[in-house]
Amino acid sequence: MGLINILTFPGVVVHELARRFFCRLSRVAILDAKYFGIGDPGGYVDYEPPRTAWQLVMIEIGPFFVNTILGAIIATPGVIPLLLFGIDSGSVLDYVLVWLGASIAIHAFPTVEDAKIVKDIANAKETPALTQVLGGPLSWAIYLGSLGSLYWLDVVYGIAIVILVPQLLLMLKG
Amino acid sequence: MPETPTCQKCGSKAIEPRYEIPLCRRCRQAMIGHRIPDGILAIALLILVGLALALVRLPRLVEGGAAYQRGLAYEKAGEDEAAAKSYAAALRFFPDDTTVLAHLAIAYHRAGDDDDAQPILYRLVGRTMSGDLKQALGLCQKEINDRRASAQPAQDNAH
Repeated sequence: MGLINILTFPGVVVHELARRFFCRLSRVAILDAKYFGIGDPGGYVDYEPPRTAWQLVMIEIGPFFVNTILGAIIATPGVIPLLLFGIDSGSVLDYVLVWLGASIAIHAFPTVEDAKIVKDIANAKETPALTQVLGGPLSWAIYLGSLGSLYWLDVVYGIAIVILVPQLLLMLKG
Repeated sequence: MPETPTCQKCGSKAIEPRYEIPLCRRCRQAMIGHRIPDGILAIALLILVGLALALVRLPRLVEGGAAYQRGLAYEKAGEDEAAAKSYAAALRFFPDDTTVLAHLAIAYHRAGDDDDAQPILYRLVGRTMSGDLKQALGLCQKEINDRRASAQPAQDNAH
């Protein structure tokens, strides 16, 4: 995973900066943070326990959406020419955008440990019903996704996002 | 008597309620704004540049790509005039793309508009493209030449 982190470092940075953003949004103090480093994990944000379960769910799951959406937006203009006219028809900028977008989307999933904490809290009896309804199934999906990351599911997910979103956009526009 | 909690950082007694870690508002605010190293800020800036470039290009490419795909669908359905219109629209977004130009030339020719097809065929001479497209263009050019050759004696006779 260390090599993947190096090759896709923008994704690590975006994931950790997104977590920092959600901490800030929830007024949660950051105890320590590494936004990128060689090794595993490539980055982390260590924060104080948030006041509510919903804030914890947001801090842990928020980066998943940021990485997914940002990765798709950045990769799409690079992927469209390659999808339509062939892999050898792209400009340097197209390939850079594809790499950047895929790197970001690949790092959408949190670590297994973080995903497990969110799943347990989002589904706990004492958690408010609304948080359970909104965060419960999502936290399960993300937990399973993060487990799949051990088998490269994160890479498959990232590549699928950068290929499928442009096709979906073209289909909707057409 | 229980000890009153004080801020872990500065010792202030005005700690914020409902947090596990006792911190005053000012110290928590300082920790929320955890410093981002300059190298990370530089990477974030480059990502923002990538995002800006993507956002500028995105509408144009989606518009052009959808027009090209409509052209392919019309071409498949044998609606050559509609295909030519869609390819011409796609060409506005991909001004010198070999594949779009080739499909446009073929659609013009099949729609009976050789006058518009011929300049594009000249423009495509020497360009690299797929074997299928090259073959289709070759056939196009041959049919245009044949049509013109057969039209020539008729014009001569008319004179």
